[in-house]
Amino acid sequence: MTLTLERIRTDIADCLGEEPADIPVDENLVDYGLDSVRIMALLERWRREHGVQADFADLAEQPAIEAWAPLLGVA
Amino acid sequence: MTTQAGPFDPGPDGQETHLVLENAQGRLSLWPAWRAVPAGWAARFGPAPHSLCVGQVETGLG
Amino acid sequence: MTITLATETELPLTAAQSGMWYAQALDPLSPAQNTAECLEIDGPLDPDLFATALRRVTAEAEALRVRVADTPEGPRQYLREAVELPLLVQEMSTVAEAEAWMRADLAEPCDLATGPLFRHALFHVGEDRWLWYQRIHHLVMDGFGYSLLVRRTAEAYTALVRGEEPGPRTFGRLADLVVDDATYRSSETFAADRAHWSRAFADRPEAPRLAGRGALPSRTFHRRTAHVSPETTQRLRELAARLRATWPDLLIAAQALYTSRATAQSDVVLGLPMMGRMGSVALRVPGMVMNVLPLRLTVSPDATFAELVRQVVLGIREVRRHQRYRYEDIRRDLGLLGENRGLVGPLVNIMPFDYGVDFAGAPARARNLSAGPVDDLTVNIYDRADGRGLRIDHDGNPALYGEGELAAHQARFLHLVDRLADTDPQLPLAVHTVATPAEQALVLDEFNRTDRALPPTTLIGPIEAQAARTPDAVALVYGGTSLTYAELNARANQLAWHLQSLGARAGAVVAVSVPRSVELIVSLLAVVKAGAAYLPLDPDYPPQRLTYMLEDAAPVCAITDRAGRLPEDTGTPLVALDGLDVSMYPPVNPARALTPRHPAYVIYTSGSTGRPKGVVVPHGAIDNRLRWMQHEYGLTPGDRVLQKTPSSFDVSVWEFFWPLREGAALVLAEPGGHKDPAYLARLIREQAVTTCHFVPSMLQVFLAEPDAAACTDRLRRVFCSGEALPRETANAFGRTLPGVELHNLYGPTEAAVDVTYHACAPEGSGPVPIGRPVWNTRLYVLDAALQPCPPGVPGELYLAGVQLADGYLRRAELTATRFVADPIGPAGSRMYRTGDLARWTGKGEVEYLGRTDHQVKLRGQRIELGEIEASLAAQPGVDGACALVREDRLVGYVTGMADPAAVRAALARELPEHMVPAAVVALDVFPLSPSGKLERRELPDPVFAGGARKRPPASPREEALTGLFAQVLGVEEVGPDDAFFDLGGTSLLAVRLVTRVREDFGVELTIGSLFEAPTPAALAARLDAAGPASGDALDVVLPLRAEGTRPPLFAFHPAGGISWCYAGLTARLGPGQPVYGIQARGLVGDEPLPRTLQEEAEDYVERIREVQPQGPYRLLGWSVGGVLAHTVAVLLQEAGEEVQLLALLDAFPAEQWRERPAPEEGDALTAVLRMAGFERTDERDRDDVLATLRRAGSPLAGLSDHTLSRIVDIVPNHARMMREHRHRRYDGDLLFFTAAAPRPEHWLTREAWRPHVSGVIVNHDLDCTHPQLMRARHLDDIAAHLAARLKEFDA
Repeated sequence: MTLTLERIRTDIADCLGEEPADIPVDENLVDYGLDSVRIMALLERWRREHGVQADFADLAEQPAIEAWAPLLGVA
Repeated sequence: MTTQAGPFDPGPDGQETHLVLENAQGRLSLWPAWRAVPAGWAARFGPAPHSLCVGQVETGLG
Repeated sequence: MTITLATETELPLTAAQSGMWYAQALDPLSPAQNTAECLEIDGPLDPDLFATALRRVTAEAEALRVRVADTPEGPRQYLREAVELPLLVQEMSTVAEAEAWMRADLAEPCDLATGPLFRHALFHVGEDRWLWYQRIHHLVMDGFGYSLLVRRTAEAYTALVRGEEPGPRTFGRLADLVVDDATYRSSETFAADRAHWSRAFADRPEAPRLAGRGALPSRTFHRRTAHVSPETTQRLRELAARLRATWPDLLIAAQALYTSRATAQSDVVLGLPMMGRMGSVALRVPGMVMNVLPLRLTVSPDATFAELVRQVVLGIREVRRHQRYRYEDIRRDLGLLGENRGLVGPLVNIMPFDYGVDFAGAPARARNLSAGPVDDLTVNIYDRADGRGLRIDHDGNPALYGEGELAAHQARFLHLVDRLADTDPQLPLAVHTVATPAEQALVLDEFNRTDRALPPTTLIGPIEAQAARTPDAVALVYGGTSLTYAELNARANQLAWHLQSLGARAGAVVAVSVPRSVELIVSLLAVVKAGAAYLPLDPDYPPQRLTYMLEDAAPVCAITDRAGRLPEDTGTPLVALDGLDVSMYPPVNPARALTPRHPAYVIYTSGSTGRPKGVVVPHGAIDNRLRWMQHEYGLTPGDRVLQKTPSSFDVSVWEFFWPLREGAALVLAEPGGHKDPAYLARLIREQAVTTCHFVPSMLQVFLAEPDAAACTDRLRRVFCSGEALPRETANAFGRTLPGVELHNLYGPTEAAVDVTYHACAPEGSGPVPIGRPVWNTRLYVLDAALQPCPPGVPGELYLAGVQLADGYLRRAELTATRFVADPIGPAGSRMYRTGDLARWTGKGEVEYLGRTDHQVKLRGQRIELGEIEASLAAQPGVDGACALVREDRLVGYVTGMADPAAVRAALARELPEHMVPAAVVALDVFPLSPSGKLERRELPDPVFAGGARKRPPASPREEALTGLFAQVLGVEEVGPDDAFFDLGGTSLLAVRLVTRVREDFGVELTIGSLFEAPTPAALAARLDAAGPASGDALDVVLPLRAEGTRPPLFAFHPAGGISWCYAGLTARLGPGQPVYGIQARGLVGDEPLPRTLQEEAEDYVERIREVQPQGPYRLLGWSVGGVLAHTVAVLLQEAGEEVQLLALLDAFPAEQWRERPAPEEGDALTAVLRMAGFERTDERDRDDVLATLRRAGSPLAGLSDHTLSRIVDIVPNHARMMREHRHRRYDGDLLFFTAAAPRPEHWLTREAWRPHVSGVIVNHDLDCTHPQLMRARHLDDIAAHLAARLKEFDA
């Protein structure tokens, strides 16, 4: 049930219409087309499927996979 | 004055943008390939570049 | 208010806030920047705890506690430690009542310098039902900020209800935003972003405006709310997922598609409001951060919706990378600040957040009430989890959109979204139409219900039948000659038999090159009687063009009036009428196998590729046209139709044949007579013409002809066609020719002359429509996808029905590209694409908007610029060529070694006169846009140079005239012997010149006299002979117009003593109203100046009585002249006379001036300048003033030194007399015109007249200063009001 880094990457790639391999973990996802609507969609999905607690501002403040991992409960 | 190319203007070089249609009286009409062929007309040539379609009409469809 | 209180912290504004501050500063009392929201809370609520929660949030959210004031260093915000909570808690019996309160509150402007900049209200509107209203100025809060405030309020309230202490403050500080902003603005990213936007929009398209124009933001906005159904919303989400996009991407794509079609632009720029907080500290700061960014998209009918959505996704991604750069900065970088200089069209404001909050378990739903100012159109889209689907608010600027237009845009958008959700996204966008089904039914079926069963006849059959019915009626009048129907028929028959012997028959072509004459009519009839189609060849065309047409059309023979008229080497047998004997042929109608499908005539029009093209029109088409015309306008045997259009122009077809089909008479104008308005006016009167045609520009010229008004006796109807009919011309027609019908017709040669018609109302407004379709004709206004445009939306006009031509002679490829398959009408039918931009009105008429291509019309003649360009390029030494129309004149541009004068001369040998450029300009290179396209706007204006050997003007009048010529022609310098028409003068410019002469010299001049005296010298001589000589022009009584039967209008001079300023007003009051200027004594001789105004007025009364011994009198005066007019009026009344009209133009009574210092010489010079219509700038003395007047070509420059120095005495004398004057009471009403622009003498008020007038003061405000009152635009207004008033008296 817990999220993995790879799961996060796959979900993000899916909502951006890209391949997971093309999504870097340490770069600003805004440059890859991530916007507030997509963050909300991801967050809803992760809350539903993985019981994530983070809120929108947490994720939007630092939109990069590396920064998100601890917020999303990834070790 | 609009800047866009009209439906009967040449498209970008080499693109197959148009058809030549013919009706029962043998009248010919250039026609954009992206628009459904109107009732009573049949495509006789194309899709082909605008200039080829015009050339076909000039020489007669034969 | 720059004092900082001890408890305040001063902060600069962020760039985002500055933008808002300046917008507010433009209109400080505007409430447009109030944003507001209403939350509906369903459940129990404790108002006291709620207030506690709000106080806490207010204490936490710094942005709410600022006030903003201007300082010498620019605007600053002052953050207060604490503010009193502005909260109203109230019971309301209904929701509607509460909403009314909110609307009223929203309309209250905010005082930025005082604050607070927000307000709350809590309304109890039912059991367990509350409305929480909050209103915040946009300068301190944006939409995302609201969501932070609402969440925190709900959190705090919920904790308080539970008896807990709310969690610690989570908001960031305002200072963080300021620092963040400053950091960005000094960063490299800022510079890179700036470069990005400048590059991305260097070759930007025009802002796509659904209203067709821009406007300043209004203080309010219209809003219409609708919902996308839950089913469609669900399908949109699914479609978005399939396209790997989000539903907002789809709606932005839908709006781009809609905007593209509705504005006829393929390149559209939408505005996207963005929260602007991603990856920033601002995520936790309630404040004003949002930005609007331009999204540029290309929408073409062949692309699929999936492709368009992809473009949106990638486009937004690109935008986001540069999203911190302010919209205001982008516009400033592009030089687009200011009215009408927008960058984006509609804004699409996506609000994806539902707050999803509750107040201690009571759920709340938010509703936006105002999202800030609306520049044009904003589409707000909310995703609310209320099960009703997406909510869509269309907000429109009321200056651009009425409620109805906003509703139409919304309905179409929703229909389009529905269809997009239901359609395969891989189909071309061409399958979609933006018109709703109801609109499609209207524009395709309802407006085109023109079916009419007609007998299968030809052009000629009904003429022969008519000749048999009324053989002795007059068929034709030309000068002193007239022919009966029997005579004309017999002559045409004999020639027809002859033509048949030469091969003329159905399907063949016979050329006719005969100047307008009886023989021309006989020839045309003969050709058609023989069964052939006639091909008119204008005898004035250059031989080269005639040769081309003869070779192209290959007629069986060509009829000419005499030998040598046509080139003889084309192989076409020529039939010269001079000396031709056809007496051996029978005078009876010849037999012929003619059907409605056979061609009736072939007319050549300009061709864009450089070759003219012959349009082949069948009998059925023109027969339908003439039958419709007869049904609509009902010509009778008593009618007489003027034939003045050259036969090569298809309007002539109905002039020739319509009267002969109906038993009426045809009146022929002399060859060339169609250009001479005076001749036409005489001919119409003398020959009792009832029906005639004008091209609008010629109609304008005709109406300016003084004799035109005398045509009302017999003239019944005038038809206009050939180019757009300006409303001013139509209204001028109504004034000059009252009771005569004016019909606007439209159609290309390719659809048998005309296909639409509109009857002009005498005093209409707005563009004159080209009207509705004639019988058996359908009009389509189609967008770029060949889909119908709804009413109001511009598109290309297509024509279908029986009037279509067969096509172009021997030009199958051209025919197949202009006469194309009709996707709407009966199976297998064709439509003609006109290349004209047009739109439907809601009432089923079409308005003409312009061209989609480079075809132009000059004085009704259709010209393909491509043809001119091809001819230019074909000249030796020309490398590149371009042609365009500048101010009604055709101009050619060439590069290369060729001498432009030689190029122009060569074109004059090859092309008909109307196609020869008025100037050819040689350039080193053509100006190009960044994308490498020719920048037509950048082409230099041509210089129409005057003659090489110039002599200086010989008299002040000559000098003034050379100045006027130069102004009207738009050239730098004109010599006294340069001819008007050689310098690019056109008949339209001639009208302008004659008007200016009338205004400046007070002399009536006809267009005809300009033809006869085309140089300033000749015209000066003529004016000297006709008008008041310069000495007389300074007499006390100046007859500005002496002719006319109505009581004259006396116009009193302003302070300077000269009344020439009323010449413009005289011209506008029209013939029939005599006008006399009254001027000061002493302008010429050394007479003593009057001592009192009373004495001066008594003198004027005597002069007036010499002109008009008895009342009723009509008096008018501007400035001091108004005071004089009032005084004269009182004197006349005291003498027992009737004063009908007293009109004062911005004149104020004596006591208003008495306490003010009188002017000195310097002010007198100002007064002189004002008389000429100028404000004084840096002119120091008399010489400077004279120099200014000369430079401007003012007739005042021609005044003698003596007169000028007298004026300098007259002005202060009037100032003194005015101050000493005592007014007596005038018994009657006052008609007053106020120059309403702000003035230094703000204390002047027309109310001061009250004690001196027994009746009412009827005032008209004009948006101008005192001296500007005499400018053309305002004189139009003044004259209109005056004329209306005078008309009442005349009745």
